[in-house]
Amino acid sequence: MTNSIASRIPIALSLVVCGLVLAAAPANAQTSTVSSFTIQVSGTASAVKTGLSETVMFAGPLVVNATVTTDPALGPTVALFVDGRGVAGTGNKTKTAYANTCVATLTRPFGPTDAIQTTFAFFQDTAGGYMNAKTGLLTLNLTYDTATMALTNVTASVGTM
Amino acid sequence: MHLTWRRTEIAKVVLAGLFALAPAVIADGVPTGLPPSPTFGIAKFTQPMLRFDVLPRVPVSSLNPAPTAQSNQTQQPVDPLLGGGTGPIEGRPPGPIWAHQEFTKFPPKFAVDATMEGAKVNTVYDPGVAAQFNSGVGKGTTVRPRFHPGLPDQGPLAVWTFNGTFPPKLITVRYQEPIIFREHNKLPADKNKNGAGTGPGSNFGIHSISTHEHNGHHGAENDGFTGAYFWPNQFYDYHYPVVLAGWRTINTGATDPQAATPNPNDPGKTNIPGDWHETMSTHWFHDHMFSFTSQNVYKGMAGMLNIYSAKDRGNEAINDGVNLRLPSGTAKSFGNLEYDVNIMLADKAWDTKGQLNMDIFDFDGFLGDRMTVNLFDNPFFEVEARKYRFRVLNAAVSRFFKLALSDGSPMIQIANDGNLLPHPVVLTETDEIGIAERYDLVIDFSRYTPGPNTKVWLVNLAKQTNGKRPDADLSLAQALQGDANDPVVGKFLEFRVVRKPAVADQSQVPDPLIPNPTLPVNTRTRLFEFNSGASQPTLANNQEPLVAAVPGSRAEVTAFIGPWGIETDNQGGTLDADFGRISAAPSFGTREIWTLKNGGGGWDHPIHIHFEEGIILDRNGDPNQVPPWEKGRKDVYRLRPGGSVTLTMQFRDFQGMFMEHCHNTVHEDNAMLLRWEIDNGGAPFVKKLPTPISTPQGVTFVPPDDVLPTAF
Repeated sequence: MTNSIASRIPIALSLVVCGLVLAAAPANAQTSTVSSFTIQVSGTASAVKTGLSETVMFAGPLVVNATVTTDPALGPTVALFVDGRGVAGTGNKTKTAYANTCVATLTRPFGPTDAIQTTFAFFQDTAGGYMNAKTGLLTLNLTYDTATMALTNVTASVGTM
Repeated sequence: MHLTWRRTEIAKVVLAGLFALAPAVIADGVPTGLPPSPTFGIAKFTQPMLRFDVLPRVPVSSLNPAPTAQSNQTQQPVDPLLGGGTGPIEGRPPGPIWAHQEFTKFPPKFAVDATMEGAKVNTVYDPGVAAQFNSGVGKGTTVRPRFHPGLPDQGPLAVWTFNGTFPPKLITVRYQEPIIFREHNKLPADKNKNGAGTGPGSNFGIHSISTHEHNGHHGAENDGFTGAYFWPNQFYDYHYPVVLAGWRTINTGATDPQAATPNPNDPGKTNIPGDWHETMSTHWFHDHMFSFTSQNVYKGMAGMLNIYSAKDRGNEAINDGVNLRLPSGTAKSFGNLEYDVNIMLADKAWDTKGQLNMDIFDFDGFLGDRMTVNLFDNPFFEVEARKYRFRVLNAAVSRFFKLALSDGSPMIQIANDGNLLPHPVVLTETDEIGIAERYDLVIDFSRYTPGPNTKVWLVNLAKQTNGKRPDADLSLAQALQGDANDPVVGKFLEFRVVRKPAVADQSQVPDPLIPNPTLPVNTRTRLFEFNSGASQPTLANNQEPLVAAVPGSRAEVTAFIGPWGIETDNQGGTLDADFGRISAAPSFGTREIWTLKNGGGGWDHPIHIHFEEGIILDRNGDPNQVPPWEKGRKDVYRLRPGGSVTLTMQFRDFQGMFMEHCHNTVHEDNAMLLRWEIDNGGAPFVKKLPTPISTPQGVTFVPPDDVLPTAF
């Protein structure tokens, strides 16, 4: 199939030029700053809110990895990778071990500070325990150096919704 | 010389030119780039979410003409609006390279005969379940083509869908039961009849189409290659053999009982060749027309395809040591849908007349301001107090979704991109689900007491006001409050827990599910960097002026310009899409490692690689940054801002030309797409495959004159 476009050529040409100019523009410069923190985090999940027969006490390492990427049009953005799978949970009565799947990948706007709440699942560390998972709440407070775009401090706590 | 252009060139160049003229920012905080969609007074959660419409199976013998291995080139008159003369009845490229591979070995056992056409009333709706499992809506219920009963019907030029009807279509297949999917193009011959003309953005979409079965393991002739499109009044036969990957070399004697397909009429199973670790489950199919995928898919060209196997057979009661007994049902041997629900998420927008509209001038991407599920605006769905499997598909143009239940309760992710994970992953919030990604989630509603007021909602946590990427992932509490700048944040699907199940829930979510396959030795690595600021060398290489391209020439039909592109192996800069260019050509029967790198800005790209499932080895060079839900096989790889993904794939069983592209389909169309191919596995394939050039009068071929130095 063909389409005669003789009558459209002038405008089409101008648009072509316009398009080509845009297409030939150099790629937007990108700067990515990667920084990482590992902190010790702790907290409790109350029996009242989880419906469990006991309070679960959490303690362990939390890894926060931040990739801050500049964006000429939209401003810097942060790609966060949060890994709390090393945080151990223990029932305060039965001493039952609780595992968790506290892994979060989050997009956040960049700023000097950022307060984040994200949820995660935890469950008895037994075969099939994941079928009766409960919900925990991870609260993060991040501080960045706005000049270097690196993380300078992380605090966090674990609780329930 | 008579100056002529193909319509895709015209549209593309006009779009490229208007790029500079288009508003670069959203207006009034509404992310569509268009006036806000009027609500017509409709409220959320006031209509049921209808399940997918199951396409009927018909005997292959009912197809007229009968399907053939090579494309049927019987001539028919061509509409004068398409250039007149005569052309073939089938749009598949002719000849042995585009013949159905292994058509004799895997002859079709049944057919699905469907159309692509304008919106109309559905009088043959089949949800595949009784009404009680579909919020009271039964088989045969008339379904009007509208997003909500309070909105006008969509006109036949505003929405184009499979069979022209709502809801989206579902194909169900089982392994080793090959099918022919015959698709008739019933769209208007007049390319200008692509919208109701009722308001800004009401005209979009193109009437030439190519359907990609995402991510079927079959020959390229069935893959919906972007250049293998067909025209109004033509059909295309897609042959899906539905085989386990590795069938040529692994378990060839079909002795492994884990590699099996369910018997259709009894609880048994039949062993099949191939690697059961490559078992697939949740696919979708959608248009892949070169440069118009975003518009056509948004216009309604999308459906889903469930694949059943002995591992994932869609029967939760059969306990044979192989069946995983995932939530589904028990009535049929396989493919029970009572507790297995397909969900297609897509943000939409409409004009003052309620007709679907789209801003096609923002090359960052398109966002709607209304949330639809299975094409229904913010619906409800009745469930029983037991486990359900939801096959969630992100079918948006540019939007990411991050899902949670409104009370924060856990869900269990069992599959990613249609592949059952090695281990189930309990989540309270999903990752950002990229465009085309599929998350199979199990939700256990037995935690709720059924009743008229027992409700829980699916909530979108990802705020997005620009097509490039989400602005921010919100906390559940924030999302539940909604967001003034993004109407798609918040609750969008209401589950009503209406009763206890009449029959006890027999389903399980076992661990493990499907372990990853054992990988052979790697043979080479490749690097693909996804950037803006791309260039298009094809036109200059062919020394053809852009405006006066010679009809039928390579430059005329395959070369486009656009802001997005891909650089391959650090050579030649970032290139715009050209499906005549060969960017990679892995050897048949090998494994490679590919790194996908986000090369610029703060945007995100969900990258899709056709045909082969990959396994992610690391993110940003760190294996520990691969989250548990990405530990299985995938076909869409979200790069994230500033990120990279390294994955490995095997190239086997079938050959031909495939694609790799951003599945933010606006990026894909403009022009972040490349062609790769497998062409050294034997006749009839030749090294450097000829490029098809589709016209209504027939398909011709040009030799591949642009092959990147590291392709082979």
